[in-house]
Amino acid sequence: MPYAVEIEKLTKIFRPKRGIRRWFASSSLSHDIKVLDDVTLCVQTGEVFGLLGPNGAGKTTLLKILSTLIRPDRGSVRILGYDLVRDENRIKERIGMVYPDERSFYWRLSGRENLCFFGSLLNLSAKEIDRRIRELSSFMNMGDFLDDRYDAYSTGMKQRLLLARAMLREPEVLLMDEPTRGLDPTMAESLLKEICSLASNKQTTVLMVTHSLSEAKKFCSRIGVLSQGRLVCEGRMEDLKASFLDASRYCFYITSLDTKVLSEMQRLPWVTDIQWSNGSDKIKLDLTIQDPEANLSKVMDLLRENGSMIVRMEAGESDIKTIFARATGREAG
Amino acid sequence: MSVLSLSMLHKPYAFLRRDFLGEISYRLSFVSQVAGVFFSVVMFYYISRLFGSSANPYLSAYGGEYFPFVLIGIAFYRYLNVALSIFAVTIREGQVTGTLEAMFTTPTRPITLLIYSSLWSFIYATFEVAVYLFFGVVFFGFQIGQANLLSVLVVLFITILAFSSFGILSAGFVLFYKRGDPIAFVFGSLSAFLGGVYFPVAILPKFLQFGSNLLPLTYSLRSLRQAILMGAPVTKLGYDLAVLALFAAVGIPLSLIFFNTALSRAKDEGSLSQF
Repeated sequence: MPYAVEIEKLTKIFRPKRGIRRWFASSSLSHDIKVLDDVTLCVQTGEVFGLLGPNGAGKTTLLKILSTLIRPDRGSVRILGYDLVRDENRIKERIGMVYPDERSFYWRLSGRENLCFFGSLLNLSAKEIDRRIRELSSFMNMGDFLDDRYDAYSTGMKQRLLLARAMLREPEVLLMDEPTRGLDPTMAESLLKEICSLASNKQTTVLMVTHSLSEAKKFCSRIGVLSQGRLVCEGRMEDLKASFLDASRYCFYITSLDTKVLSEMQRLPWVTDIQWSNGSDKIKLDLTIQDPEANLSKVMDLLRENGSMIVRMEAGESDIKTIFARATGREAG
Repeated sequence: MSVLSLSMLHKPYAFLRRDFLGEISYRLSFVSQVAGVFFSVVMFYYISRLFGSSANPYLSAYGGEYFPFVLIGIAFYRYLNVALSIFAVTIREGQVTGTLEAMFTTPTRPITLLIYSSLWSFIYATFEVAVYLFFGVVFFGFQIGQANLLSVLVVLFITILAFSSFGILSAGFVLFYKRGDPIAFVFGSLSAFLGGVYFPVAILPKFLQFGSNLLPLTYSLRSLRQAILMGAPVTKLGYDLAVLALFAAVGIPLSLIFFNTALSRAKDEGSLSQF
């Protein structure tokens, strides 16, 4: 499948203003800040890609570069085959951007009037704008409030209007910066469902910045984690689990646990961590084992020989939080 | 009208509609602006009565009366104000309201956005000028029958082009420095003082008259007064129109280069939406 977004060795450094401008305009920066560092990333056509990362990781800067608002220092970006710098207008005709900023509308105009205005900037004719507003209004249930003034909108309404504006021209690539910010979980889920259904119907490529790990897990076919400007991991959830989750950590559910077995295990040099807890009818035993290929069977034998029946065994952990924490180096403990 | 030309009008219409809807949502502001125009006309009418005919030697080229002279000065000075401020205001408001980035990610070119954003203000300035003249005619005996409308329109068109080049420069300064652009302040203040808004340039000392010759407002107001008060045809305004055209021909390309450089720098710095 062809790539809709191809980013190669993208680097962006924000520098403090220099010379006379530093004195007159002042500068929020006192030194160079490398916001994006050699980022390479490809997003396939029709894919919903989630971009995660702690605050200040460079996610918004990356989206702003993709939407032509910020110019990269080094590296190349191609969107739908067009070069970001050379073919800026061709790219603008094909992307939609959902901003995190709900202010980006005219507050004394209605939602419909706002959409009409931005539709004309997208080079849509009045007829096309009317048709698209009708479609989006019914698709996103905006009929009740579309003719109300924007300054009377709730956060949910504003978010839907942001999305409707981004979708007005039926973009081939949809860039979204925290599209569910400020929404309650039900509303957030329903909005993302709508986006994903649109993406799959129209083969729209979606690149979504989110702080919600559960959203990323649920709606994105692939995720990438940015940390301090670097893309520290990227791939399908299954691949990331294999790379980042601890393969040597095992959880045994057993019928009984003898203290003799525990002390024997503690003496084993390749068992580095032992945790256990009593459930209603089973005991949960968490072990971290070095070189599990050679030693896992030894542990199982030891348990069986001492009368502990193994009811179930799970390998590793299955939490996207762990992937995020390990990828960004923020693992507790 | 062909489909092509209709579609070309679609975008400027969208800007006009946006600004019109915004404007009528502030009705009190509209009423107070009309009232402001009225009181300004009243004030200058009584100032002109105070002068009587004592200023005649300086006003002979414009019919000899101070009230018609100053009415045209203050009315048409609005165009300079709008041209100097509207482009910078568009950028600044877009930064503050967050709409600038939303507009700049559309395929409409930034300079087109700026120009279309100014349309409503120029139309509104025309309305204000009409209100000035209306009050002057209806309440204070201002004569407008002799005016040469074609000359007025030609002068206005070139005037707006010449003034706008300074306004676009000003918008570039907002992108560079965010606030406190020197163009609008220096050029606006100097023009009000030296451009012949409130008194004829001839009353100034020679060295200040030299300064007034460097300002497009001087040529604009002189030719407008000639066209309105003396009914001068376009052919009689050749010199002033040529100077204004020169301001526009030199100023517009330079201001566009400056604006595009500022925009490019803002994109490099990631400061487009900072204010």
